[in-house]
Amino acid sequence: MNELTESTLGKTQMMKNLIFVISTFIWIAMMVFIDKGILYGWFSSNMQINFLIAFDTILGIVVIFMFITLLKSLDELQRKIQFDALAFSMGATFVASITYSLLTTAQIVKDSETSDLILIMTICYMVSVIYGQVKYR
Amino acid sequence: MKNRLKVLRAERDWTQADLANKLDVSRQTINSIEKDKYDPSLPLAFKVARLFQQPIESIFIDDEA
Repeated sequence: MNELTESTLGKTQMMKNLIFVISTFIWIAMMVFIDKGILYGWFSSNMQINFLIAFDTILGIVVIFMFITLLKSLDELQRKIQFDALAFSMGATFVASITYSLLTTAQIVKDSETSDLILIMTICYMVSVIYGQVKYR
Repeated sequence: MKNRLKVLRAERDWTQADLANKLDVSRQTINSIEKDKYDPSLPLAFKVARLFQQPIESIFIDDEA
């Protein structure tokens, strides 16, 4: 009975995680599609672009609420791992953005790209989550 | 903070998964508490005390006391 309950809970949690990952992937893929579409002139009208940007923004907001729901469904240790990772990635991104800004001002870096900071944030978050999972294995 | 979770669990012949299920947490949490890697929150510590029907201070021992 206990094994059955644990297995069901595990599957439910895995399903939630999977839905969150898929939603995030769709949101990011769409963001890239819109960005490249505008850059290479794939869209025929501004109306189309505006609609896609609005849709992607709404999807982004939905992903935020899905992440909050996911955090609430975790137990206290798993939540701690996630919060530690969020704190680390936010701090690292903050420091990187200031350094990046200074490098741009000093004209060492010419074009500042927001996507670079998002990449740093994502990598720091992933590394920190993996570190937490290994630490509290 | 030290704790007697492993001993109490072994006395009842429960696995970490059994205890995790009874406390509604992951097995990873039980393992981390038993290995003194993670100190549980006060609500979880009270839940443990209720489950084992023992005072909280007899399960969790403060190192600095």
